Amino acid sequence: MIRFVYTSFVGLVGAALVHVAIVLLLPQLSENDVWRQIEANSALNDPVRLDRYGVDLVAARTLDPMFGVIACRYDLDNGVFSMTAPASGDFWSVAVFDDLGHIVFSANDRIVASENLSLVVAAPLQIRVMQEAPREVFADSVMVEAKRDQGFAVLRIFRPDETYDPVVADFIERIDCSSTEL
Amino acid sequence: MIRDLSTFLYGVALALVLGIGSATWATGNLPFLGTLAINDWHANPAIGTNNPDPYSQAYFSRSGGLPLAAAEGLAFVRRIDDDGETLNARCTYVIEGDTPGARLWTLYVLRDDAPLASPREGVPVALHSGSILRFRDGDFDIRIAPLPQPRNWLFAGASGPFALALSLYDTAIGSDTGLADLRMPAVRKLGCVND
Repeated sequence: MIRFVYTSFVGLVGAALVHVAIVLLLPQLSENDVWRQIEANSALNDPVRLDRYGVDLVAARTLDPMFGVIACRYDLDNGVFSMTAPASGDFWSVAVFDDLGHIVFSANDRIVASENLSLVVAAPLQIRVMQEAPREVFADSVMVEAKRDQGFAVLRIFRPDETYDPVVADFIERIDCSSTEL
Repeated sequence: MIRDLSTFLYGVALALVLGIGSATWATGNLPFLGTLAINDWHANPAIGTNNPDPYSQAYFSRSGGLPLAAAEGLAFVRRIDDDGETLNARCTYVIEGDTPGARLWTLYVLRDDAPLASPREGVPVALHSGSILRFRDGDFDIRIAPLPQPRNWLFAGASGPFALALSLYDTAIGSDTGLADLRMPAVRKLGCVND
């Protein structure tokens, strides 16, 4: 009897450990998360549209239907990542995710200094290099430090109905994602 | 020897079954901890921040969704009316009041956790802050009904349960100090067809 109670107790402690391990490891192990979906469906530095007018992803099922959503995948091994987009006059927001699905940074059109979006994602060492020798191209950019090398940036732009399409289409066309070697 | 082995197997089985079962259960839905609930509208502000709780993170890893980050906005979901009954498209509801301060908001109908597609052109399944009529004080009323309604109309399907998603964009609500009361619109049932 004591043996049974003891084993049950050890089993419960084991269950707690298994529970914690699964919850903490899910971001690394999940085959279905948004990073895997984007990695499988887009090329590096190539803007891909995620909403219902773009590629068909599971991640897109739950997105706000009144927004156009565009993602760019980056790899900091190739140099710092920069994303630029022109002023659209309407609301847009940007979020940077790493390959575990953690949000690294987010902003909207009111937060950035100029109306145009200019975002630079760099590893800590690359930030250090740019602080020592600032690059003129990135003078107006918002700097984001990412601890992990791979990830993606997601840009959302307000598109409530089709009358917004000309503006949104133009905006999307002029989004530029690139890597710059330091 | 057999007894040792069976005890050992029992312990291992208990750990695996309970551990995997509870983890699956806990990550299948957004966690209750850390939710922000205003008038039965629920949101998870933690997911957009620097240190999201592991359960929210695991939920998004598993479901493959793309959450709104803190500076982007906050998405609220509501599944019940003011009387606590599940929203049903057979019934007519009125959404009254105003939202907390936000640059813009969108309101759309969720069926099975995905936005409802419009069955025909001109049938509104989604509204936004710039597309609605308001009263003189800035408050609004939106009627959810299977048939067209005066003023603001939202279509939620012909029948069956649905949920409402209200996403506030560029809002400071996630970092609210509690100095002012946060207002979210009420959802009142007006009546049902075939009742």
